[in-house]
Order: sequence, then C-alpha cells, then structure tokens
Amino acid sequence: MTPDLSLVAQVAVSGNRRAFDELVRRYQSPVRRFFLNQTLGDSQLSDDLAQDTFIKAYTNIASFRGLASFQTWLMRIAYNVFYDYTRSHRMTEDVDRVPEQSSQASAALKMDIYAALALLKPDERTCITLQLIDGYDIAQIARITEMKEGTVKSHLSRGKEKMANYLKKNGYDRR
Amino acid sequence: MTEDNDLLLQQFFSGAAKEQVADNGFTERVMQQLPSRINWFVRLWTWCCLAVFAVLFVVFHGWELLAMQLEVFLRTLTVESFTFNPLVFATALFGLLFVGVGEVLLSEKSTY
Repeated sequence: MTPDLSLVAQVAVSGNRRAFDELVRRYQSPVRRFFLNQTLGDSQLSDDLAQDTFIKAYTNIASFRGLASFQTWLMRIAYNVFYDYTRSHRMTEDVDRVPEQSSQASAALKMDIYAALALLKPDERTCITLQLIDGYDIAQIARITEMKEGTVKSHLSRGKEKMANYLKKNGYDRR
Repeated sequence: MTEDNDLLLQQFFSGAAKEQVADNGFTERVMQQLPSRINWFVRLWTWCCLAVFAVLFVVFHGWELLAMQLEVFLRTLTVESFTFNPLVFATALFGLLFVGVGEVLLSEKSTY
C-alpha cells in the first residue's frame, strides 16, 4: 500500500487525481462516521459535509506539512467544516430530535448511540466520539479541535458522566 | 467509579468503533466535484509577473544586459576565483521576491 505522504506529494506537486482518489477511498469511512456522529445519524448532511471536507483538503493540500498524520490533518478540516456549518446554521445545543435510520441492521443500538450523544453539548460530543469511537488520544483531539488539552479533558469528563448516567438509567450496566 | 463508567462506555461504543462506512459511490461523487487546482488568483499573479518582467526587459534593454553578462561569463570562464556581481545578485533577489510574495499570498488563502 502506497504511504499517505507519497500520495499527498503526488497530489500537491503534479495534481495527480488518481492519488487523491486513493486518499478519499482510504479515509471516507472515518470522515463520514465522524459527521454521522456529530449530526446524530443524518446521512445526507454527513455526506455533504464530508464532500466539502475532501474538496477543502484537495484545494489546500499544499499546506499539509506532515507535522501530524494525514488523517489527523483531514479530521481537523472535518472539524472546522462542521464548526462552520453549526455556526452558519445556528444548530441548537440541546438537540432533541430522534435520528432517522435508513438501515434495519443494528438500528436499535444506533438509535441508542445517537440518543445518548444527543444529550451532550456539541464540543462534548466531538471529544467523546473522537476518543471512544475514532480512538484518538487527548493530545490528538486537542490538535484536531484546537482546544487546550485541559479543555478536552473537561469535555470528556462531563460527557462521560452524562453518557454513563444515561446508560445506567437504560439498563446497559446490567447487560 | 470513573473506571466503571469508562468500561461501560467502551462496551457501549465498541460496535460503533469497528463499523466501517461503505463507500457506495461517495468517492466518485467527490472526484466529480473537485475544482481545478490552478485558481484565477495564481493565474493573475503569474501574468502580472510576466508583464512586469516584459516591461523591465524593454525599459532596461535587457537583451544588452544579457549579451554583456554572457560575454563576461564566457571571458571569465577559465578564471576560478569567485567574483560578486551586484547585477546578478539584484536579479536573483528580484526573482525571489516575486516568488516569495506569491507563496505568501497563496499561504494566506489556505487556512488548514
């Protein structure tokens, strides 16, 4: 498998679209999953935001300096895209809508995940999903969101407490 | 207590963490939407540089300077010692200035 840096260099230097195609295929899943979690399962909106993320990555690829991994750099763009979207659409912090499901498979668990995530404030939701679903550590989350590590820890602590209370109320601790 | 909560949350999210989102034509849609990477600003800057170069070349009789430089170069080709030429230095500085300004302007456009 061609390393990310090699593909990025091919895109940045010669505008190689095949190399960028490979990068999109490689990272579409984590980026779209990130947006699905932030939008509580709105797949159409998630795909639109993910598309916007990859287009921004393509047009700004020359600014990738390789200080962090390509995926971390890409997730930072994704976070900024979502942040801009929420600011322009003034999404309310207390999202109380029930997310729609397009697939029947594991629908109940997904509903529970999105219902639990809906209890969180946007920043808490971002930190929680980046750590518990996408597997980033605190330093990486701080880099993606440009928050201080202490702020990330606070969001994680508050978010985890809310989520744990919700899960206990719904009997997940007895399963 | 906190460790119990962490364990509970890890179990709850374990399925979601392993889940892969199927491509389903997403990559093709992105590739169709990609813009041309050479934007109008870069084109404009390139043409400005060329225009300035052309004007200066005519005003300062650049062909004479080039011929003179070539002659000096050929005459001193066998001389090994390095000599500082202010004209060559100024030309290089001028070129770097244009390239540098272009790079700065481009980097200001990129926010990531």
